[in-house]
Amino acid sequence: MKNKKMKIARVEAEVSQERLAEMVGVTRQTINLIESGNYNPTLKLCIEICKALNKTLNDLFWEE
Amino acid sequence: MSADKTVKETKVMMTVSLIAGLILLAIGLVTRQLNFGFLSDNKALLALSLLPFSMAFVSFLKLSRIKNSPEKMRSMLIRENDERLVALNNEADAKTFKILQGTLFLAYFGYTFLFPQEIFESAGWWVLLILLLGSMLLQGILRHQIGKSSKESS
Repeated sequence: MKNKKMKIARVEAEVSQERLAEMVGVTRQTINLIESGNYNPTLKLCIEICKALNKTLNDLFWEE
Repeated sequence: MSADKTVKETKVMMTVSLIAGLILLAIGLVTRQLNFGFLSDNKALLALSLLPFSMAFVSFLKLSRIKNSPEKMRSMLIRENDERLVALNNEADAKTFKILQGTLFLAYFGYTFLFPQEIFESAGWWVLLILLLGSMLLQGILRHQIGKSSKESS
């Protein structure tokens, strides 16, 4: 399932996939795969992404 | 992993490979000169020394690339530490190990059934048996150790 919340948060923060990847220490492909729902990140990486985008885990990764 | 740690590890790798290559080369040259009888072909040691030398060369290239281009170094570090790529590498390593273990198992059984007269007699049979048992034991020991270290770190 696509992670639209993360993509929206990233776009709102005006951060490119490449920049976000640099901030959290992964490759751009990994960020792309997370957003497209093709890779399940570890909790550690989820927290890193949340910190980089200034959001909570609920904001980005909780599905209603 | 920090950049300093990578540089340090690469330097250690280069030094160890270089020393191993030099030792093999020196032993090869000495045994060739003195024509010792315990080695059937002294050229084997000279040829084997090429392997650590090439490993040292690869480490040297990596070091020079790190020093010449910090940008490349950063992207290389990210590639080495990306959890997805690390998981992919680990999976590939695990599959390779399983295939090698299976091959070892088949080689041991094939050898035992094809050459029954060599059981407990030839060095080849013992080597295969030790490698097979070693791979099985080592897997269990490593699993235990990794489990223990992850418990300690949590």
